[in-house]
Order: sequence, then C-alpha cells, then structure tokens
Amino acid sequence: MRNRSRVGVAVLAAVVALAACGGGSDEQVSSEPAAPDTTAAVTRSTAEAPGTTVSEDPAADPTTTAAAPETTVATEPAAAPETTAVTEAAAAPETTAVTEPAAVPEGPLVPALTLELDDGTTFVTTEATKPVLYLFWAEW
Amino acid sequence: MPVVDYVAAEFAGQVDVIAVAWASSYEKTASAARGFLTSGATRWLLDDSVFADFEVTSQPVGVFTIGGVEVRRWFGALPEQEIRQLFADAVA
Repeated sequence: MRNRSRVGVAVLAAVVALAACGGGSDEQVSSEPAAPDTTAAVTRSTAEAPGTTVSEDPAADPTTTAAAPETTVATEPAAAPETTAVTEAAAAPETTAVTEPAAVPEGPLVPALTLELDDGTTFVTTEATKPVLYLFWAEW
Repeated sequence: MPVVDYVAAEFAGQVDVIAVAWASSYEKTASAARGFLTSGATRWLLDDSVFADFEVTSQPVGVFTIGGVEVRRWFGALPEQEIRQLFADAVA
C-alpha cells in the first residue's frame, strides 16, 4: 500500500511538475496562438465583411449613381440658364443692332434714276446713303 | 420754299436736298427760285422727265426718302417746324 501510495504521489508530482513546466505551457502556448489566429481570422473575415460591404459598394454604386444623376441634373439646369441668359443677352443687342439698320421704313421705292445735277455732279437715287428731299418746284 | 432752304442748311451733309424744276421753263421757275434758295445746301436738277418718274402731277411737291424708300410726300407748303422735325427724325 505504501508503495502504491508512493507511486501515486510520484505520478501526481510528475504530473504537477509537467503541468507546471513544459507540458501545460506548451498547451497554453499552442492554444494561445490559436486563439489570436482565430481572432485574426475573425478580424479578417470582419474586414472582409466590410470588404464585402465595399464590394457591395457597387450596390452602393447605385447610390453613387443616384447621386451622379442628381449632380448631372443640377449641372444641366445651371448650364441651361447661363446659356439662356447668354443667348438672350447676345440676341438682344444683335437683334436690336440688326433691326435698327434693317428698320428701313416701308413705302414705295424711289425710281432708279441717274440725275445730272445743275452743279455738274451725278446723283443716283438708289445709291443714296443719306435721307433725300426731292423738292418739285412749281412753275410760278 | 425758302423755309426748306433754311432747314437744308441746318442739316447740310446729313440730308440731301434736290430741287427739281422744269428745264423747259427754267426762266419762269428755277431762275426765280434760285433767289430764294441761297444757302447752297440745295442742289438743282433741271429735268422735265423726272416729274413723271416720281409721278408728280402738281407742284410744289416734296418727296422725302430714306434708304431709297419714299417715307413722306406732301403738296404745298409745310411748316418749318414740321420740316425740321422730319429731317431730325431721319438723321437720328
């Protein structure tokens, strides 16, 4: 019985010694790295999850796409008024400038004549650049 | 008619004024008219056919044109102020 109990104590002591030294720590070391690995894996998968979220950005792309049209729509109206304003501003003066000279009064055209004036000059009725008053003098 | 000559002198270089008279009756008309139109701003044309070209059948007649278009025609005398306004509007 004493031998058995000694052996038992010795085994127990050996187990305790193993547990206190290498055996237990090895298990812990091996288990500790495993834990971080797992954590890393989880983190990676978590990171991939955002990555997936990023890859879902294509899904968010619709949002971006939705924003793009908005920007486009905002740009188009902004450009439209400017163009309209420029067109109106440019058209107004041009039209006015063109209208005034083109605003030749309505009425019968003068006969196309080449007049030999008394002072020796020639006057062409259709090429007059200034207003002309023809004064038909009475006989009396 | 002298009134026209006054206004023609005011607008010399801006409005041409041509007095048309019958060449065949120069002594009766144009020679006498020259005494009224003394500013030198009015030039003379002695040509009988021009009356018909402008369809003038009675005298005196004024035909005012701008850009080769007849804008006003009147028979007889026209107030000085109205003639001046006509010229001023044309050169404005």
